[in-house]
Amino acid sequence: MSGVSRRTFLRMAAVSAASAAATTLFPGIVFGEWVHSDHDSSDVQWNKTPCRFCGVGCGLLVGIAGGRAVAVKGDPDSPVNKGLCCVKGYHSVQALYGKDRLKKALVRKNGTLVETPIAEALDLVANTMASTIKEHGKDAVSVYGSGQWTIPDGYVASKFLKGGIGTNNLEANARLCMASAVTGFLTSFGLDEPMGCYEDIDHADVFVLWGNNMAEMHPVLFSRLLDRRRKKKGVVIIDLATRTTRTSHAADKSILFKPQTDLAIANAICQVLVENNWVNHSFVQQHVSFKAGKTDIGYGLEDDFTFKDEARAVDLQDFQAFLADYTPEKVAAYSGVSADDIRYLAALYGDPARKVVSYWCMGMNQHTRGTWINNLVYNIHLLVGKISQPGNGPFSLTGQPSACGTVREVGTLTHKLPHGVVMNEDDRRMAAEIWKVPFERIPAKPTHHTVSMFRALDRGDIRFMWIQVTNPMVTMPKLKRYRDGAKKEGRFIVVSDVYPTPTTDIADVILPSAMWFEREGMFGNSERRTQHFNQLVAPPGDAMSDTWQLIEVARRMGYGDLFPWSYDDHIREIWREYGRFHDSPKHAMAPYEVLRQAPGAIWPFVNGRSTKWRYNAAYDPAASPGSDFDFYGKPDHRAWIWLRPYEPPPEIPDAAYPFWLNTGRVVEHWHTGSMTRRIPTLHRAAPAAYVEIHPHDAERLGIRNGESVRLVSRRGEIIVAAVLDGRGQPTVGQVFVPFFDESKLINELTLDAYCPISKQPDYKKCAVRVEKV
Amino acid sequence: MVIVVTVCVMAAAVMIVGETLRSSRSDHDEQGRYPSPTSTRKPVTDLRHAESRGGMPVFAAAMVPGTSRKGSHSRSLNQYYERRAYAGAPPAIPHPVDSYMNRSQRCNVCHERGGFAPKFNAYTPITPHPQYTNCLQCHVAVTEETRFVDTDWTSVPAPAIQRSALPGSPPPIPHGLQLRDNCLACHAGPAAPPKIRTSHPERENCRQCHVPKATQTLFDRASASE
Amino acid sequence: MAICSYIVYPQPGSRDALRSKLTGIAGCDVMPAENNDVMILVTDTNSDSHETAVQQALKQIPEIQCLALTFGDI
Repeated sequence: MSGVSRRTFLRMAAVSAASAAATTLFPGIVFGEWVHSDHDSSDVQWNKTPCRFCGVGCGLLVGIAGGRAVAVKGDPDSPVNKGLCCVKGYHSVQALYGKDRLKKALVRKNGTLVETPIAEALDLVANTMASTIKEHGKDAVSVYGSGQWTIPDGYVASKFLKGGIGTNNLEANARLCMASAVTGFLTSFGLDEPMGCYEDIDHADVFVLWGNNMAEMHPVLFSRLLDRRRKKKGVVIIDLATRTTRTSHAADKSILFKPQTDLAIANAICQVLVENNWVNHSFVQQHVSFKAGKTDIGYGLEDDFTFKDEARAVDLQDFQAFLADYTPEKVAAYSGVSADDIRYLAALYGDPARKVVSYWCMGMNQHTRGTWINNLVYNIHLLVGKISQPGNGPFSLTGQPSACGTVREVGTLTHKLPHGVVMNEDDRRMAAEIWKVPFERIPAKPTHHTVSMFRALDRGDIRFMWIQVTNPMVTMPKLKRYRDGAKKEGRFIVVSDVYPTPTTDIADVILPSAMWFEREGMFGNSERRTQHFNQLVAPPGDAMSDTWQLIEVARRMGYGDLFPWSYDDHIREIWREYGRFHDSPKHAMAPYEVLRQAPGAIWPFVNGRSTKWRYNAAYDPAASPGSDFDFYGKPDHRAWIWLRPYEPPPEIPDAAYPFWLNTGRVVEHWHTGSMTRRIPTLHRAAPAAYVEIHPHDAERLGIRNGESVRLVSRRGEIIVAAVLDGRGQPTVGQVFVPFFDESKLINELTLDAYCPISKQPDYKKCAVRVEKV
Repeated sequence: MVIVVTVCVMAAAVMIVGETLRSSRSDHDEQGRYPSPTSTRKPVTDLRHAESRGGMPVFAAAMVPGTSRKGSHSRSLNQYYERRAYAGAPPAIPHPVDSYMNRSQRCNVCHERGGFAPKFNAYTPITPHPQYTNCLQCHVAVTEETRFVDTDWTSVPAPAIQRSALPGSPPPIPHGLQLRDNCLACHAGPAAPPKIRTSHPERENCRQCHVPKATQTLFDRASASE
Repeated sequence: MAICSYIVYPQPGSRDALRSKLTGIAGCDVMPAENNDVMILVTDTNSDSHETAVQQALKQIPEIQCLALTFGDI
């Protein structure tokens, strides 16, 4: 990491000298780091809100004084974080106050962005959207949102596009972060989202982290794991990963595997479970079916790529035969994990006396076989019956505050509706009835998933794109193609955001958004918990919530009857209307009044109670009475074990590009850093991206710590500082670069290959070379 | 080096002036309290310990104000708050974080019990919450001083030390106690800022006498029964 | 070119006015004390002419009662 510059040092010395002198003259004199407001600490009012950043969904208490946020505490009443936050959460409110906050609409006129009254900018957006539809058809306009959309934002976007205009061109960046989790749940259980909840941590004996640097990415939950281990003897944490991180150091055992071989390791664990007869036979007989799908399924690199899986019924004997290729010895040969370690993992899962939770996030989801690896970890839990009980279960973590609440539950994806999918006639009829729109208006065919949507923009099939709360010009893989495509003549890009970003740089219209508690809204976190927040401060200038921007444009385009609400009550009314889609014991949402009071509520919320463990009849009112477990998401009321083989990734290091490139985050920065880099404490701790290289590789290439190196892939290159002694250490032959830094865009190098089932790209594996500069 | 020498000379000069000025003042500070007997009088800036190690300058005393073994300098309340974005925020880490610390997070080896750290020529502040061990989850290093974009952030001043209700009675606790329920961590020992250091660290049951101020209002039968 | 720091004593009652005047000078950073009228001034200039301009600007502020150099060489 960079040292302190000479000038910085001198400034620090100058301040220290003055402060020392003043302290001598006036003992007890206090100089704060922050500029003091006119209010004092007794004026501070504390209000609850979920955190703005990751999918953990910590409860915060935000201190408000004089109409501004001034401080943060962890909410001790929140069952999520129990009063503790991470450094992003504690400093989160500073994200509202960066000097370059967007406060006025900007419209590109003759190449330059010109400040424009917001009403005029909204007119322009509506007129352009209407004229594009007239000229090129409904499917030439699109909206691209994110898992940072509040639930009302996503609901209004879905109603506007699918129920109003009549196009399925609605996607969200959550496609890039948890689509494989969704398809994993759907293929294994028929219903999305985890069966358990964070309370599992307080009951489990073993935690297996699958490619998940939880100490940095989900630090508050990781602290709960550590707390559990401190309080109960024999609790172990296993870090199963491709690189050594803070999580590995804190874990009881760190197991390193070669990229992509998690597929083989999961199968090998099952092989040992079956071989040793550690299978929970009564559970499997009553609650599990076996299925095989297609193999050799491709990587989605072609523009016209399509794939449809087919499930074929098989049985336990077929499964056993399939596992013969995955003995610990065979898998050890290419995974880099010893047969002993595989047997150790299997023994932890197989021990009937131990409760086991598996956690994962981007390592498994951003994977060209993302759906498969999700299925395979479910297989392990299903074989031993360790699922849907306190302390036992697979748990898919998320990265955005409302990836679950908005993108998955409201369904802001091309194939989804607030209940079900567009392909299903009953689901379309339900949406048409609740929205009071003609049934025929909702198209039955999905259009583009995210990568395909940006490819369509490049080709010119899509002419208009409205991007809200996300930064695709930093996050798209193989970035250059999609940036060049978005900048082409005849494309109209609208961006709603709170700060200038590489995405606003390519915009024709920038709409200033109200962020977080500058408006009322709800987020839904990873454990099915919906959390409401009030408007606590006024948005700056002309800034307006994304919900209201969409409504304003929809009204201008003649869809006002779909959005009849007043500003004062629109969030409550949206919540009530949306609730009708989920009005069953399988997914009932808590009433608005409950959400306003409680630190969140977990759906299904039935008879005034959160359902902490789904499919378990002791906790879940939707499970049929008299049963122990009921996997009611599938027509046969069983969970499905899938036979999914190991298949190699599309690009593997070779002589020309000898290193694996892995990308990810750091604890200080969230997503593309557009908010966290404007928080002084966080920027100072992690000011720029870097590349972690193993010291052996560095020595071989003659690279010293801190030296600039060039990283090159078949798609692009960047220059970045090498770190040999950083917080993480890749294995030999691998490098790691965080993606938060807009001046060092690592996604210029990444590959746009995706999981054919989930369509989620793999940001964790491609081939690069490292050059001295 | 010229500048460094200047600083030392300046600091010394100011110190002498300060001693002279203060000798004319009363023993009471503005809040009517006696200065803590352990509070020290000398400036924190002493750059003689600055050295270079592996390309990263270590600003021993300048960066890590603490009390040296000889008791010659201590961290002031200013410095205590300078590390925080607002009163109650987790402080940034003022010393270099080497790769071992960065990976292992074994901060509690020093910060659980405190004591003198020769490496930084300073007494180690004690964490009020040693039960948490994912330390860098909340406390992050300072690797440079610049900002990505300037900020309009303001916050309320740190709560002032409260007056005692009666002469000699114990003052109330002016701040929240979440994650800070071990009073002695910040209020006792050589790393505690003298301004808030207790005069009686041997009495460990702090909240026997000092209680948080939960409300600004006084008891009133009518509103209390609502 | 120089970085200097000063303790600034305002004329009685003019603390806030002084603070805003100092903040307005390019190259000047102010850290007001929380519980005292004095403040720390850090000047960070990029050329000799800039340094001279800052010195001149400081001389013309009537709210300054006393300016004590604590760091730097001018």
